[in-house]
Amino acid sequence: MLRIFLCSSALLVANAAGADTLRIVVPFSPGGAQDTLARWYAQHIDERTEYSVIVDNRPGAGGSLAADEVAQADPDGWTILQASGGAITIAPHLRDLPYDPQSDFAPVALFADTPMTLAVRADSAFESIEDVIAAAEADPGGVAYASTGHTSVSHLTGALLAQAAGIDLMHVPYQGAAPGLADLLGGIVPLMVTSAASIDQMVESGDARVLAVFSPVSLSNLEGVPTIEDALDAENLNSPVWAGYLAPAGTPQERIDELSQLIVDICEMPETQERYLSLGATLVCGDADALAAVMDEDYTRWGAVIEAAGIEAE
Amino acid sequence: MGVFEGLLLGFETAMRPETLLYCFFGVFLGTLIGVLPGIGTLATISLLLPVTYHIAPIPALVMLAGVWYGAQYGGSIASILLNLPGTPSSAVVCLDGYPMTQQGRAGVALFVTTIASFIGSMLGILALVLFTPAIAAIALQFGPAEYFTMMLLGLVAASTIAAGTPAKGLAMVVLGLLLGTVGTDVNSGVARFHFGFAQLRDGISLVALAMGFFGIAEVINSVNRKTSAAIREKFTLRSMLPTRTDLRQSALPVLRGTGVGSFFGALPGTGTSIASFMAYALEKRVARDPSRFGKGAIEGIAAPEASNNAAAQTAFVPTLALGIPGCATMALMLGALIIHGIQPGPLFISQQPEMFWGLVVSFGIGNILLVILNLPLIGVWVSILRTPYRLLYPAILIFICIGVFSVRNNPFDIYIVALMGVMGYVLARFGFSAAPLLLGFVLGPLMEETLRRTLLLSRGDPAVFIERPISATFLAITAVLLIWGCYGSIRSSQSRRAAMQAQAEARSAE
Repeated sequence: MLRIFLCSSALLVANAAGADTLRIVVPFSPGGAQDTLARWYAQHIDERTEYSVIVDNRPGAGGSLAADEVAQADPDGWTILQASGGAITIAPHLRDLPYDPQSDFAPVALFADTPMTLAVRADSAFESIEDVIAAAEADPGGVAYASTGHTSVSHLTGALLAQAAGIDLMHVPYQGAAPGLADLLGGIVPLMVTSAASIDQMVESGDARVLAVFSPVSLSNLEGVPTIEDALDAENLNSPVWAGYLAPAGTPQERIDELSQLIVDICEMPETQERYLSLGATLVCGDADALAAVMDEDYTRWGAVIEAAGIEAE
Repeated sequence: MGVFEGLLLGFETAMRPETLLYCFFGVFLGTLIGVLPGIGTLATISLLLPVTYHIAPIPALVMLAGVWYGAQYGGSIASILLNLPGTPSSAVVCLDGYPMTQQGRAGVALFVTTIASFIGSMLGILALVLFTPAIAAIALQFGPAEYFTMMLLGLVAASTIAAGTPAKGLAMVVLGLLLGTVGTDVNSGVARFHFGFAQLRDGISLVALAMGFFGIAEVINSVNRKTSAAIREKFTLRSMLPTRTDLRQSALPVLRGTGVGSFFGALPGTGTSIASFMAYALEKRVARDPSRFGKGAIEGIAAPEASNNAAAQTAFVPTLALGIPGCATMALMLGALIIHGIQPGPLFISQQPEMFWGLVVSFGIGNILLVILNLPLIGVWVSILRTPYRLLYPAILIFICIGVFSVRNNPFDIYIVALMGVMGYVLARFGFSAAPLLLGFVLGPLMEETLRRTLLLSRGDPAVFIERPISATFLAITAVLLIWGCYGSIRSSQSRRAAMQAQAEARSAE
């Protein structure tokens, strides 16, 4: 009992509902796509089990506030983090963190991928990725691409493309997808690297086109668009924008297996597929091992890209 | 989408029970805080910001907007009955409204201001519907250079035209710009001025800043204010009916006031207070007998009320069409939209037609509700003027703490609110108004971002600001404003000196 009173207020909320309460810590404000996904899982875990589930929104500092919260939580299997690349596989290459992404977490399950695309506006002179490369070769550093933020997956994916094609692109960071898209459509920047989910609507309305997707398979909502590996005839250019659940390191293995099974089961429901489509996410379901593999690959890839491009954050 | 389809969609959205409910709640609360002197729209909207996280974006914005224009109605009640402005923009109504009360014509004054407010608002909404899409269409060609120069113009306008000492206004704008630099820099990813607190990596939260400066500071400031007012009059509908002469005398002033208000409302950096003062000044100038003003002239209450309500509506034009807030309250509205992941700007109307048209129609509905709230229910508001503040203010403090905590579940933000509150109180005591600070705080980071993006895209060549015609025009207007502001302050200090001299001479002549 005493321990409960010593805990932070949010934990108090968690424990007030009884000992059997699963807390999903989400590094985003309520209302966005990530939060909606968390609430989807919370609702279905709640329906399938005896215990209750709460979503604890801890936005801030690029997801590291939420990650730190979970890294420090009791590894009793009642707290999990809804994680994505930023705070786990990118931030450690850039700055000191209060937690160690490699050793403080145990992967639970992989549940989504929101792949990146290279987009242009509908009347752009760029018809294919070759046009972009030719233009960049003629004017090194003169062809600009908009990203959703400095050191975001969008920024790094652009850098990865430049490195793979051996070209120099100008990086123009924006705060999120919406302002960047406005400038893309307004003709201020010729290119943008952004998620399929964010560009989808503009492709449908005929305002924008997608030159390539950074995913191993063509996306159902962007038919006929080549994958980046096909377009460049190169390998290792896929950059999954993964989302998964992590538990604090030291969580009992049986508990991780139990949660992993639950999440994969929910992920594989047809209703989940429908829900994802409306949010622009791609359905990828995987157990703890699958998530660990994706995270490892991600960590290595972004480390190499950041080093090669000389990207700094502090 | 044409205006007709738009309005149809708007009706569909605004007539949903949930939206209607929040609309009613917004205008009700707006009237309430408008009636109570000392609690402003900024404080109320900052208090409501955390609530908007938990409701859908359209009802949330409908509610916040309701508070904003509702307060314009309520504000005149205290002005007329107590000679105490409920909101800054209704201060000018005291001049002729209170004399009317002394002449026993309070009911007529309340009726005329309500009707003037209603007409001003409705025509303001019409202007909003006509101009927002047009301006958004022009703004589609805006690049970062245009946005930067436009915000520069807005900030300069805010500090040179706005009431109060220009130097103090400018100082607060700059302080706001400085506070706005806290957090992660968009261009380099460097976290600035975080002093080792991870919570400051995203900057100071707008909610915490607004609640501190407008909520806490106002509560501390009001502790010593007189506790409640004594009004004995009872209002029947019969006592409120104006005479035929009253109506004839106020018809043209209402229209002129609406015109003045629509213009100043849409201009970034001005706002409702300036709109009502300008309308009053205009009436006094065109009047056949200017000496009637200040003694209960009905034009003196009709024109400013029409004007500040029209301005309250057209203030949404730059906010929604360009994503640039024209005044501090609009900066909060913009914040509320961004909280919901909605970026106002040239694409806003085409991407969020439900939101835009829903808001517009809800403004219309809200104003009809306001007339109902203000005319038959005037007695309720008069009795609220008697509420003791010692019950009201502690409750507000508690709401502030709960509200700011609920946004990020982070106790750190409560400390920030407390700090900002103390800062706001101290600054207010020295005559620094917090509204320019908020404008600087919101516009600063946007200006830095657009300035650096312009230079990044032009590869460091600043000539781009003059080469692009729209941006050059904004720069030219800014320069004119600066010169005019300097000239104005020199002239006013000269005329003050001249007046003092004349006084001294007159005294010596006696």
